Amino acid sequence: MAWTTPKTWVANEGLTAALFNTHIRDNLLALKSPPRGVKNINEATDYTTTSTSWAYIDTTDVSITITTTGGDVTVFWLCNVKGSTSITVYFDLWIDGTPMGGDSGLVAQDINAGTAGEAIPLIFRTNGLAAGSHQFRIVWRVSSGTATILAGAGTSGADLHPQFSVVETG
Amino acid sequence: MVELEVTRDPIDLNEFDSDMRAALGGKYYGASSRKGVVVLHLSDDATPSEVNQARSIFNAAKAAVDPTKPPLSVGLAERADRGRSSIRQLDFNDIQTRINNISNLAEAKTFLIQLTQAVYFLAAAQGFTDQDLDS
Repeated sequence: MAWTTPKTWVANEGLTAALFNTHIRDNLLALKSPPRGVKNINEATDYTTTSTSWAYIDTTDVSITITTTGGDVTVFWLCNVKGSTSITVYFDLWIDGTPMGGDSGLVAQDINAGTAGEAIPLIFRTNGLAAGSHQFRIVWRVSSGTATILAGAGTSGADLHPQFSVVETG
Repeated sequence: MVELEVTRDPIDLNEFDSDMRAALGGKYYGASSRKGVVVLHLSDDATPSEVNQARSIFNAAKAAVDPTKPPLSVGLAERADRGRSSIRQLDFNDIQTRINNISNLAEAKTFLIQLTQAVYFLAAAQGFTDQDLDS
């Protein structure tokens, strides 16, 4: 349900069903169910990379496309990452192929080879994203070595499921 | 960036990383595994010849993989855990007292072995050695 900018009511104006439905009912529905997408990730194998340049984690399961109405969009990404040794892992958000972070992305974390690695939370709110269809993807890279995103591969003590969600928050 | 999808079979990305970097230098960014699919990341200016070279290096590494050997990353993680376990057995707060209390060769050997194991496992976890330690 699309959002309609609420009209300004004037004195003695008649309240019609059409106006009420458009400006009250439909807008309440729009607030309750804004454009959004959620991916709960549970893979047969974990994700790994040795890439020192930005690489998509997964072009299907870590990719969400929504059609926005012109409001800001809040993006959440949560995962656990471990390294082959002590390394740094970087994450960025790309919207329609455009990076939102700087050269080092939005989030960087020093990680090690521990069983469950480190939790990586990435929260980002867009500013001025035009209405329309937009593709949101998380990319990652490493300083060196190998990074592994635990993605539900059933490893004992590390069966962790990342989540990626995108919602227009106004 | 050029993305070259090369296989659907699981393989440790470290099996071919050093060979790729030696052959292609800065044109090889690394590799990723997505759902078991290995993707090689090459720079945009990689030539068709270099793309083929990357594919050849990967195929050679894939052919050389011993399926009974655990992935390197798994081995390193196990060694890191063992290193941490060994370190926890040593009380570094009172290391001088413990050394001073060594009164015979047997005690000295026990302490030396314990210390060596801790150092070894930490070195292995950092990738300085891939030898196996018997005890």
